[in-house]
Amino acid sequence: MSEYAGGTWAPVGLYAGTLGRVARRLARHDPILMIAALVLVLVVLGVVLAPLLAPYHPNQIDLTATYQGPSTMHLFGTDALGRDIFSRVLYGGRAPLLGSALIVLIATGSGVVLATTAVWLGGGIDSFLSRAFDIGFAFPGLLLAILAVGVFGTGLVAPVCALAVAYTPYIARTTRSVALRERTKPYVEACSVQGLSGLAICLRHILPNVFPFVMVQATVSFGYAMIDLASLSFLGLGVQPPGSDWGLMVSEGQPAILAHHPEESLFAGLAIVLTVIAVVMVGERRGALLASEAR
Amino acid sequence: MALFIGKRLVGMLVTLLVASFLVYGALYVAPGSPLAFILGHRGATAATIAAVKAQYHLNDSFPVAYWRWLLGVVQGNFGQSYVQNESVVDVLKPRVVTSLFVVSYASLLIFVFGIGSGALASLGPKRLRPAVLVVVTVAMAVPAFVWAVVLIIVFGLDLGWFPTLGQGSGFFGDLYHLSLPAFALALSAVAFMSRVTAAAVDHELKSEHVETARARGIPERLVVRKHVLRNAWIPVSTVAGLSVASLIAGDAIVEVAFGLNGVGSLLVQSVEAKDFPVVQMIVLLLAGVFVVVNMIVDVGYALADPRVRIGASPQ
Repeated sequence: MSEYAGGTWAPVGLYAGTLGRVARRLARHDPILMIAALVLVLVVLGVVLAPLLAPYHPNQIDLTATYQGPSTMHLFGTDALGRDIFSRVLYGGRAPLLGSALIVLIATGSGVVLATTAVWLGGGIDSFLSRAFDIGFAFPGLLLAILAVGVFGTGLVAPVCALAVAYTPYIARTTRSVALRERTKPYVEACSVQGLSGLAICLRHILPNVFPFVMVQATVSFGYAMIDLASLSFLGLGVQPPGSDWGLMVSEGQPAILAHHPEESLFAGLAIVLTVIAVVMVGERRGALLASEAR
Repeated sequence: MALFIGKRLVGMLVTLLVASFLVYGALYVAPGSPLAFILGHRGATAATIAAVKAQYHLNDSFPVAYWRWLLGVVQGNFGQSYVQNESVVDVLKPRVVTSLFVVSYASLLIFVFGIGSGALASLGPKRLRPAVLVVVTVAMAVPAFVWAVVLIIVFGLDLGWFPTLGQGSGFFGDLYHLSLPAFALALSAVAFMSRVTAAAVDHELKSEHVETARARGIPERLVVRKHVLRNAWIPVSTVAGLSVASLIAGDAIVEVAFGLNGVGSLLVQSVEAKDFPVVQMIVLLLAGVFVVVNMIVDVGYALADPRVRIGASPQ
């Protein structure tokens, strides 16, 4: 890791007092990364603290106040059942954020283990696993998720598992290419001469060097996983009503659009787009930084 | 070249085999027995039970059953929808044209607007670059169903230029009705293509052979056309081809958003109705089309750039 503030997130949490200084340094280096990170923090805080921040219960129906426009009473207006859209947007981020985080966590875990094993053992195992990843690429993730829902029923579990499988090859490919480069470096040879076991070299030396690159791929994948999950919810195959979920809200708000009440679809869609842009920007800026450091 | 195509063909067949195994094996991992899973909660007569058992060879052991089912599928025996009481082929047939129309329309948009806007952004005035970058970054992150909502609001309701639901009749009716769905499906890929094209053109503009061509006094217009665009075209068309393949899965989203009767919306309806034979065949069909399009793109790339064939890395 570099001494660059964006690279080491730990101080942000450990020394809250220096937060302002870190932020100023970050802004001077890369204002876009700063803004994206800020948006992301705000979105996550808003969603996590939904019970504290939401002015209404997300499922509180008020049939005397349906289809209201944005006002001080209802920041984003109300939906067909008079539910407060702002509260529902706050609560509606839980499933997509948690689901995407799980997808990326599982995919990164399995992708890194598989790719490191392939690189370390090499030979037949490496070429077999590479072929397996190729097959994984040849299967659209959304399709796999729809099949999984067809088999196991609607909800979050089946799509999250299916998408985790679908995203594993992407993480594995990045890990493999970086780990392959690391494997040939002199320090690996030196460790092995010192009598370190293969597992120890992989865990203690190769993985920490590969990690920043994997994190970039994982961050960008988080954005795409969120789009896939939201798409499934939009199709009615993910979170079920009356639950609140951004993708589901876009689809539930659709009939109202024709009656010129687009608030529900628009605000839920905006939440998805804003989060995805922020996540992908953070990933890409970190990636660009790593690439320029490597040069 | 023959060896390259041969290898790709084998890879494609293996992928299809894995896909078919997934699609068939899904029956056995599903909760309950395969027979109960296919029949669902519907009352089944002795005849339907016998038909399901015959279609999926449920009296055989799993490997034998899979193999015999696969042989049947290869010969065009796609089974029966027990929800609609029709063969899967009859259920699918009237819907294929709509999906094909939307996906082809969207592909055309990717090639024309994606590549065109990218080349213009790269060759055009430098002042516009930051603005273009912002638009492209935002457009890429907008999922198809959000594009659908935005297009319906702007072009369907506010401007009233296009219908927001359903299909037309005849070619021009289709063109009119399927414009918004095609744009909704294509726009994030268009933005992505624009970015890829701009990067490829930038790369060529900075390359040594272009510098040499300029030094030889070749007019800039010719340098751009014969040296920059021609070389950028190879990677750009490949990525565009892969983007087209990715539309296949996204098609379901716009079909549902715009209430179209296509293959994608049928897939979603069948999942909801637990009509598993239809789900199976559509997943297999779409995976097959996806794999074939990818393979065509791969082979095209190898034809255009001989370095790919011998395994050297291009550029």
